[in-house]
Amino acid sequence: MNNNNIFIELKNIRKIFPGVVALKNVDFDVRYGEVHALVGENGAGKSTLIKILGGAYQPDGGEIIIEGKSVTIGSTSMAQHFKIAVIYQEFNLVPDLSVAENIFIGREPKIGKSFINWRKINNDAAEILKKLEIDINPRKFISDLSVAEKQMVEIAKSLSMNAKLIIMDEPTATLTEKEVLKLFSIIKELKAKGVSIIYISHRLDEAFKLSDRITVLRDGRKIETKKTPETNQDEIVSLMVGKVVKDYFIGKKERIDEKEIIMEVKNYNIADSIHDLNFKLYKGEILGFAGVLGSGIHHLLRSLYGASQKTSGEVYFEGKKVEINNPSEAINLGIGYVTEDRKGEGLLYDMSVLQNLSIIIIKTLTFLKGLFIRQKNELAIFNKMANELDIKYANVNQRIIYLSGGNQQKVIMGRTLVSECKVLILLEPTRGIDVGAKAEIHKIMVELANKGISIIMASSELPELVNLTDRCIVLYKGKFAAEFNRKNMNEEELVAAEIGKLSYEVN
Amino acid sequence: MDDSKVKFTPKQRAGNFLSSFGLIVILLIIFGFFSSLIPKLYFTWPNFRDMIRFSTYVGIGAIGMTFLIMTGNFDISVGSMLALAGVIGASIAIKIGGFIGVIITIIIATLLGFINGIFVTKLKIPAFITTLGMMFIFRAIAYIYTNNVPQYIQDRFWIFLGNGSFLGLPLPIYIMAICYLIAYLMLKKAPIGRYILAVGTNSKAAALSGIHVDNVKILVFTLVGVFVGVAAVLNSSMLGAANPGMMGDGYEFQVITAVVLGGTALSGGSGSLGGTLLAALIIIFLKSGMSNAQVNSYWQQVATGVVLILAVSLNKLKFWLIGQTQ
Repeated sequence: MNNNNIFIELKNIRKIFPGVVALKNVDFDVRYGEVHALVGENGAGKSTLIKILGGAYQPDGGEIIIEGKSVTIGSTSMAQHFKIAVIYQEFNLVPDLSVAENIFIGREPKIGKSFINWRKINNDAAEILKKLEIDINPRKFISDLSVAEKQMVEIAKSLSMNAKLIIMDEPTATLTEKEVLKLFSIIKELKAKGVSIIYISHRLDEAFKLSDRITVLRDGRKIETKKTPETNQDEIVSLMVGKVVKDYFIGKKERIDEKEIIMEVKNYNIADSIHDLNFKLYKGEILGFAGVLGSGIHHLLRSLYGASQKTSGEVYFEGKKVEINNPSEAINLGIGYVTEDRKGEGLLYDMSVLQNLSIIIIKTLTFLKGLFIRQKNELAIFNKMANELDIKYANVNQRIIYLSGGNQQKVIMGRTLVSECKVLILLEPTRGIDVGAKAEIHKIMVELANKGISIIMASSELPELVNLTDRCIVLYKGKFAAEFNRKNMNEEELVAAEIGKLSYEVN
Repeated sequence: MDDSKVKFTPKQRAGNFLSSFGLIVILLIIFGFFSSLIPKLYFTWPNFRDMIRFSTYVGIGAIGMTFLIMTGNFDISVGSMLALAGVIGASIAIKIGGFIGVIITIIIATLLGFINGIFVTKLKIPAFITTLGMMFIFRAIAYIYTNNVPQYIQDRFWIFLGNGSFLGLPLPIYIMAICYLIAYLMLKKAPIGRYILAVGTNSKAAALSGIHVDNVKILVFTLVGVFVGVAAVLNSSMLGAANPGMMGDGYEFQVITAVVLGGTALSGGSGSLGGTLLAALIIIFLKSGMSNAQVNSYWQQVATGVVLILAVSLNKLKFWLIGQTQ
């Protein structure tokens, strides 16, 4: 290999966190114009590695060489100086600034020395967005954008920096199929221009479609770097998990014949997002909700949990009409909710793993009329759930932020599961989770349903909807578009319904 | 995790040391410094006993503030609250009796804290503005109520609370110990402690976990009132009067300094009662040392201000050493 081809090289990189060695002597390099896929299970060290590249973390040992020179990436702005752009899963955008300001943040075109050239900043931003075929007004505030739109702004931002290396952490997790294709064509274009890309994804087929080489991390170690044409998905998966995972979707559950309705929603309306929706939820059923951005599904599920308010409509729970005004009332009825926004509204950062898991049920684990916590019971419940969900942690008093993303997600799910709900609302339950953990979560869902728990799941992953749900309701712009069941489930029709091309009820 | 035993870098070890023992070291340095500078005045049992006795006034008041700052809020009306509750309670004590006066003092302060909580949560007025306004309102009402006449405490029970001894130790120390014990149990052993931490660290996640975030905040503002009420009883007892103008002057500053120096993050989410207690001692040990060494009172204020700013930088240093990103 000609060393001149290498843009950046990492040698013997080590990173230690309290209680965890995140990276153990990792070697890694990226060539010019290469798409280098980085794969591994949750907790393998991918996030730590890219944070080191992005200047957010400092390694505790090892060397970083950029274009032949040994360097220190001491801060995020130094990463920018080295033309490295990182698009994190959890975005780095300022919500109260406009799209254009975010794209050029720190590099705003000026009039004189002090005043931002608004005309230029907006025009330049519009040009970049146009190049990416993204239809977003550069004057819009970030806080008004959807998750997918924010992602596109992140990509535009790194393009505007003329980055030589763009690191994409799970870029497609929140995108629709169409947006994914757009992203792929952009990546190919960048590659042709000599830009290097580190592509992190749990979707192996994407890694194979895009990459030149694939590096597998496991438990903070580099396992291997393979040339993509010389390997296959099975090999990579077995390198990732250390064992061969065969079945992606396990044990579809028995079809329930007795149709006992647990929850029914009638004439449901939410201002600007849901219009005249009716649906039933049966006991022990997995009901999927599918829809692209603007379908209103998230608003619907939030309001069913009482986290936001409906405009009108009725909800019946176990045959009784109920009004759910806040999450506490939903929990008391037996409705659980797992957010898709782990960072924003899931994690209790400053609290321990144990405290994060027990927060919903803590008031029931008490003696002396709710005054004191029965700490033994709390620990017992934690251990049981940690066992069931296979949560990996160093000790129960460890702060939750020191767990890997996948394990954090399991704690957040466990938090709701310990409340022994009858209806479980799951939003994007496997977003940003690796193959192994994904199968685990699916298995848990099936087991819960078999136990008689009804699950409402919103997902943007087609295979998940098609293979896991008993029924799937498609919403388009807040209205009912189609419904599928096990017998007539059809991926193409489902996608067509999602984008408003199909509007009928299948029975 | 298999082979990932807890290993700390030297930097992280320094950070851990700083967060565990930093305050004790500071306290010992201050005590040692003044003890060697003015041993006859400072390094004596009566002085030591008095310093601890006076520290209860800040130490107890800072308990509620620790909870409040943990939820990401703060209250700068506590000095005026102390005065208003104190003068009303003292006037009742003159008319009806000391025991009732003490109870009324605590109830009034509790009520004032509750009012602050309602304004901040239900009317959505930022804590800074609400409590700044209340700082003036409470103080003004204290003047109006008393016509600017100090309310002398002559009731023996009330006097005893702040000045009596039990087993050779001043009574306020026992009262403070009880307050800290109750607060510790609330924070560590009761669900409410979890709710306070949860609201402070991520109020959206707390709300989705079924916690009534507003109610927790109101409760915490109310708790500030409860502990300020206890501090008001002790303070007026030690001084022999509740003075509408002088009582609690600069109290909010001392209390907030104690909480922040004690390691509670102003952004909420984490904090320590033990730290608050140590910090309250530091403030009083420093103040007493400077007074005994006849440092000009304006320079004393400069020193206290420096301590507050140092406290915040010490916290930052600690987090930087441990390598925490949030």
